[in-house]
Amino acid sequence: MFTYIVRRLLISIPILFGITVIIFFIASKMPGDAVLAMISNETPQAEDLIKLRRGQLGLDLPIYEQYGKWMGQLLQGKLGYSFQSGESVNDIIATRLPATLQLMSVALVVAIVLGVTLGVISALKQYTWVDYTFTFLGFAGISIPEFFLGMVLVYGFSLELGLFPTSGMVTAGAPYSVLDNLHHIVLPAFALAISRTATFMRYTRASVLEVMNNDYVRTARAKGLNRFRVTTRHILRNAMIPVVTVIGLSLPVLFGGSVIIEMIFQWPGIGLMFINAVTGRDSPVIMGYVLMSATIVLASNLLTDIAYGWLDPRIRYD
Amino acid sequence: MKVRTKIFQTAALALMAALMGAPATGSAQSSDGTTGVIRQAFRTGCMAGPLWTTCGRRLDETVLQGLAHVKWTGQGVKALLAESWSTPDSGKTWIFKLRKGVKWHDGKPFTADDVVFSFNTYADPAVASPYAAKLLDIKGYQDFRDGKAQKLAGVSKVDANTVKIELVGVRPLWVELQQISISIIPQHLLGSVKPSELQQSTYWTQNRVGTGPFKWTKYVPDQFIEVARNDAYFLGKPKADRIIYRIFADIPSIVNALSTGEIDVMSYEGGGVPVSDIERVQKVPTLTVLPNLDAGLPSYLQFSHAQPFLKDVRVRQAMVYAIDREKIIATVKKGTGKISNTMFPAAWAQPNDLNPYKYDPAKAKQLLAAAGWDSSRKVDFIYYYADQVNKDTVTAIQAYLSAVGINIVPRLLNPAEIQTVYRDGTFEMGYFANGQGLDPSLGAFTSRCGTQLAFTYCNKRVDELYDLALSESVREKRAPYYREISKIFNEEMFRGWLWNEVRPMAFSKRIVGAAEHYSQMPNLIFDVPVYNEIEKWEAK
Repeated sequence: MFTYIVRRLLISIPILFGITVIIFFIASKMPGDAVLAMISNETPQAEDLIKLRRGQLGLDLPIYEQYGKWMGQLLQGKLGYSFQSGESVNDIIATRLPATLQLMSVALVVAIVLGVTLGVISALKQYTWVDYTFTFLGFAGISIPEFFLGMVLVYGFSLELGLFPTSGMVTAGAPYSVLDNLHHIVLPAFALAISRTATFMRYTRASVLEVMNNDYVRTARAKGLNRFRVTTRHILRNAMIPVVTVIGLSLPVLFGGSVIIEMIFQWPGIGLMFINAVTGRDSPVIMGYVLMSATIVLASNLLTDIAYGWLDPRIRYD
Repeated sequence: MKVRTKIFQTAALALMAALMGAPATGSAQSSDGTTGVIRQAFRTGCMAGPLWTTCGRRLDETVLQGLAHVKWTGQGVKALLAESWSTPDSGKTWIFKLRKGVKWHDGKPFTADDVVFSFNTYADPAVASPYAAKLLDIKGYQDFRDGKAQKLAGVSKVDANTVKIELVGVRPLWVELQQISISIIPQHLLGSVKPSELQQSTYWTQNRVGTGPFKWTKYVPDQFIEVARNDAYFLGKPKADRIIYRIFADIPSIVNALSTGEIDVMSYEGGGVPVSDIERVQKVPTLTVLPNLDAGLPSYLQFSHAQPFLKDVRVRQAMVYAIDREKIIATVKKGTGKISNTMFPAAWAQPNDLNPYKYDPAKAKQLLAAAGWDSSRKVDFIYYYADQVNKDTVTAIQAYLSAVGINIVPRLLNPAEIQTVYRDGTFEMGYFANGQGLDPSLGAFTSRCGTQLAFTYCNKRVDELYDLALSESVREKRAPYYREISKIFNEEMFRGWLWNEVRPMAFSKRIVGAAEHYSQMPNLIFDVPVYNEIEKWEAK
């Protein structure tokens, strides 16, 4: 197992390097650059000023030199400074990461709890009206686009009923309170959770159905164990293997955030930061985000594989 | 099993109750906590500071200040850090007497050193501020830019409270039109920062010390900026306690937050209340809506005069005759906006005898035939306002033009892409708007020979007239020159003039002073801080 982990870690380095090279070059192909993006179309700017600004930001160097500069900075542990605001990219990401983590973990926890529970119930009561209802709701949840759901929730619960705020993470300017934060998180977390709940529910249901009919389950029931114990200890533990994979693969999203939901709810997270950076051609911020994202995907894939090995003793890595 | 189900049910009910209860406590908190607090919408990406961005101008009305800011009535400037100014030679030299006893928010005294430092910083090529061009007329500007000098020769300190500015020529309106963009920054905090690293200083986001009615207290990235009352403000202690600038990335979120009372004042940069939302906003009883605020923003068809098929004036005139502007305004734009037939929105700059270009497709076809227009030609047409009303407007324009044989192919681009098209010579035609509200002289930036946005249009008489108009300081003397320019633009149609936009705005009735001041603005003033007596605004 140890050699396996070390091997995986070593392979990650060239993968990360390759990803940064590809993204840097693709991003540079976008029309315009940071200085041009900052020029308002409604007021003219002098040519020499634009040239000066581009020079200051290093945008007039050939593309491989710009990449080299970025890489050199990275090896010193620095992610650079935003072209748009001058803030350090480390600070920009660090201040926004907690907000995204909060939102995504709440959504994920809700989705896991609801999804697994409903999936198990659905499987145990297969072909009853309960099963059919949950299946229908499941398909609906997977099919409805997140942004549409988000907007409908804002319209219904915020604008019409006035039960929840329209946007933001906390009431601006007021002292922080957990209740206020929770109040703001309900709608966006719900919008995010619904499609994931449906996915987890479907996977759990399928997996439980498969496991349910195995001999060892029949043996357990024959032994006289009560239903609850059979379900949790015998069925669920085996059924969870594919579900853990799915959950593990959705971990990167915890950090990447949902750009669309963060936009709709003005949630001050990484997703919103990223979309602003792309529109503003803010290269250091884009690269910072990409690097972080890629690292997390690789790390969570590795963690998932390890968890897999722990859950299922049949799986061995060499 | 039954017990377990009961436990789940009770837990679920408890959670629901807590969530339902939260709104009650949440809103109770806000109605108590908002007396004395003005909550204003602020746009994302505007934190860099006045040297690099204009969208953060609202902060320059409360935190940083200039020598004199333009008044909200559009008439003249309000003396702020400068108490008075005079010119001994009709406008070539300006002596500013600074206000005495003014302190920066950290207690240090404001002096002439700060003013000299600020002007030099703006002009410094190492700082690379796009607004350096506002100081073009100061003596020594070019030498400084070219590296031949270390500072502006024309800016000098006479004593601790007096600054002398020497210009390269007579500019009677230099104070009213040029220095209004410059914010004074503290030398004692920024003087030691290397100019090329100035933008990266934490001063801009953590402790923007200024001299204004409100001082910087907190900045939470992508959430809000908080400023608190400066009791020692030189125009009097402000009535409000705090202003919260809540950061939004897009307009619909701002309008939603306004409708539910989460914010009180919106900003007009980036678009006011979208025309399609005006009815909905008017139904909210706690809001005062101003649906017809003149934005001072003429919208027009932009032509590239480098393209041979657009060089004939008859073609350009035909395009305007071909479009039923009244109908577009009445339907797509829901009655907002006024037809315009020339560049300047200000009434005093327009003569009475402009050609109205009434909708006449027959005449358009005639003109096109006389000019030899090839109706199989496709014209690339770019635009960047992405809201539905503007998209529909472009669609309507396309339909009207194709009815007379002009085939435009519209493309929606974002600012970075548009700049690329401008620069690589492929630009043909587009739909744009340009802020002219403050003064007709601003038109020179986009219509003088050689300016980028004139797209090779050049009329020497127009350039002459602009210079003549700036040599006078009294409106009555300047008006005839601008009226002549208006007539030329009306006849030559170097842009296809369409209409003057409105930016509808809404304000919470809680804020006494907001709607009142905005409704007194003859047109919105973009890109410069506007003095609108914010120290007198109250938040009930």
